[in-house]
Amino acid sequence: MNKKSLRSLLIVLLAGLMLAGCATGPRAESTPGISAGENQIFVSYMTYVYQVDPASGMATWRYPEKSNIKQVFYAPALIDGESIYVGDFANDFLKINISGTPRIDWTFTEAKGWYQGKATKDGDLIIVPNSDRNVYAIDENGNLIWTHRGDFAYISEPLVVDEMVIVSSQDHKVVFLNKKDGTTIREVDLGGAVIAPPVYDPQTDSIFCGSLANEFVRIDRQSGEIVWRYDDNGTLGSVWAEPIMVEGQLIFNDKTGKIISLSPETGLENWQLNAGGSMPAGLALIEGKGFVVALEDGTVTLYGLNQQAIWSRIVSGSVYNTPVVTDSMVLVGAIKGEKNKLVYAFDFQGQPVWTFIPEK
Amino acid sequence: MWDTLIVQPFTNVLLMITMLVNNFGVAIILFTILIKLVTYPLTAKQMKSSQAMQELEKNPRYLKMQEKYKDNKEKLAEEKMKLYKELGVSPFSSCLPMLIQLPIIFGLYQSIMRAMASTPLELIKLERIVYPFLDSTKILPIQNRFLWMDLGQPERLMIAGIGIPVLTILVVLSTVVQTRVMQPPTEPGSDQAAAMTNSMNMMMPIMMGIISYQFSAGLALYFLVSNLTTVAQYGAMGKTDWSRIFPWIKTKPKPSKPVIVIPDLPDEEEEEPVIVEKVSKPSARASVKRQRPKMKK
Repeated sequence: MNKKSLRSLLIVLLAGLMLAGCATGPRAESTPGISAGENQIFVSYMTYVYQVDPASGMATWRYPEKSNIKQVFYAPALIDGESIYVGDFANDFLKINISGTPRIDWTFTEAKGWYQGKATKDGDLIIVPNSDRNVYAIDENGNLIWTHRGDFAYISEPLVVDEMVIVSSQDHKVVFLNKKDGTTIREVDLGGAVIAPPVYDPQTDSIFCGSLANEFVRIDRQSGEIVWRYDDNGTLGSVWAEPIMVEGQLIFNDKTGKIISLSPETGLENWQLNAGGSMPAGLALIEGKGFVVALEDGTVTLYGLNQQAIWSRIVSGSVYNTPVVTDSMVLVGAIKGEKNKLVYAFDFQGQPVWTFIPEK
Repeated sequence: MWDTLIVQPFTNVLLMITMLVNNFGVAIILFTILIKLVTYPLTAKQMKSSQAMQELEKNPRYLKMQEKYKDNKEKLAEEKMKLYKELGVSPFSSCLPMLIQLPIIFGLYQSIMRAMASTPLELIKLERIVYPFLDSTKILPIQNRFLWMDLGQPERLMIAGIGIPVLTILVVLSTVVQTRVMQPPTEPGSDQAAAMTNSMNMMMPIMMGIISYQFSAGLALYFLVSNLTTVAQYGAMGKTDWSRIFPWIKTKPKPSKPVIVIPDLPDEEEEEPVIVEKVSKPSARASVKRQRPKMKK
């Protein structure tokens, strides 16, 4: 073989290797999954789950020790005492013991799709949505208890109320399941994909949820009837995030930046304000102070319940996740920001505390 | 700019087809065939140009020139350009249709990837590029299920607990067929060209196989349909030597073409201009005349 043909072969081989290298990881773009517990913060992003020190914002450890391009984490971790439960894009759901050096207690490998939504725990039952159109219920030892098969990928955190598991479905429905065996109790069609997790109000025994059908609804938990619908006279945008409930008000936002307060009982509007920009992320409640609003362009504002802005800050990058509130901080996840800053921490007065930059 | 001009319209056409046929897998198949049909004139032109170049490279004058100026690359290039000009052949004419097709192929690939949005962030981005006349409420997210596949995940057909990558196997096979169909006949004694062609024939199916095995099934489906459509197009042009793919098929010897007269290579010392017969499509009457035997007086 002469030099030229050898060179051509090498080029082809190199191109092959490059393409093969590109192809090894899951091709999906997503946002950091942030979860916070008592003095603990976890961030799932790309090939690691990080434990972040709430005081300094530095990673105290990360899992796995060595990154694996196929194992990508975007789902927020469920914190449960000395363990966290987190799923990845390699179709595995892990229980990681965090009491010392992180170690895997078990791995649940039955799923065929990605884990994007946070798991929920009720007693010793862990319920986790998967993009293979299944909701899985697993016991604390990693044994499968039941599977609920739907028609679309499940990507939002399930809600457990008494003996019911309630989960949003991209198939335009809110699905009510029997917690014991995963059988369907009822499905309520909202006319558009439901991305946001539902929220339960014990006062009205109702479920509140918005959808991509530009509507927000109250569903009676016992009967499954839609008690009221709110669409702001046809001007409401798509709803991507869950509402908050505070002082007898149900407050939610649409993607266009409208923030609306409704009466949970009647669905009548209390007030409305415009945050001034695109806002796929939801509202985060700070008890006794108000709620934090994060616009896609990185503007973070704390509003009082009188709808007055208390402080406003700008973070670098785009924000798509609902901010997470700890006992003393607001955590805002952003992507494509300067210097790979991933999480910004502010105190309740709006002072920056730290920023978390994942190590390379 | 790229998104607005290429990816957005492509994605919307794909979504429209999905709405019409109510199946994303079928929409990918139809959309790929549609794009292939739209770009068919370019494919045909590219093939004709590359064939003209191949014919030229077999020409005695060309071969003589290669031999004569093998130690003087500048002169060789100059002479080649002269010859191309004289014969009305452009070495770049087969590249141009391919260059025009490239953005279309990239756009097609990107639109399929966009439409298969599988995370909330990807859905938000998809919702943004859906044209207002399409009801994004009804269309999003897209149902990724097609036959046994989840088009958003790498495909495996579970048989007796074993995941068989059927689509990957089909992509590899169709790429083998496609590369062979498109492969220009190598000249006897042209080791370099043969080696390059062989390495391409070997590497392309492997590369496509690796990508199909690891990427989402939607992309693999696009590869498969694209390969099959290309094979069908080449077949339709009647330029395919099927015996190279299926050795048991015997091809009939083609009738010999009328010989194109290309003047001999002038010597370097010669100053006189060479009279060259320009290669152009002869008129029907002229070709009849040429074929007519001379009558004896």
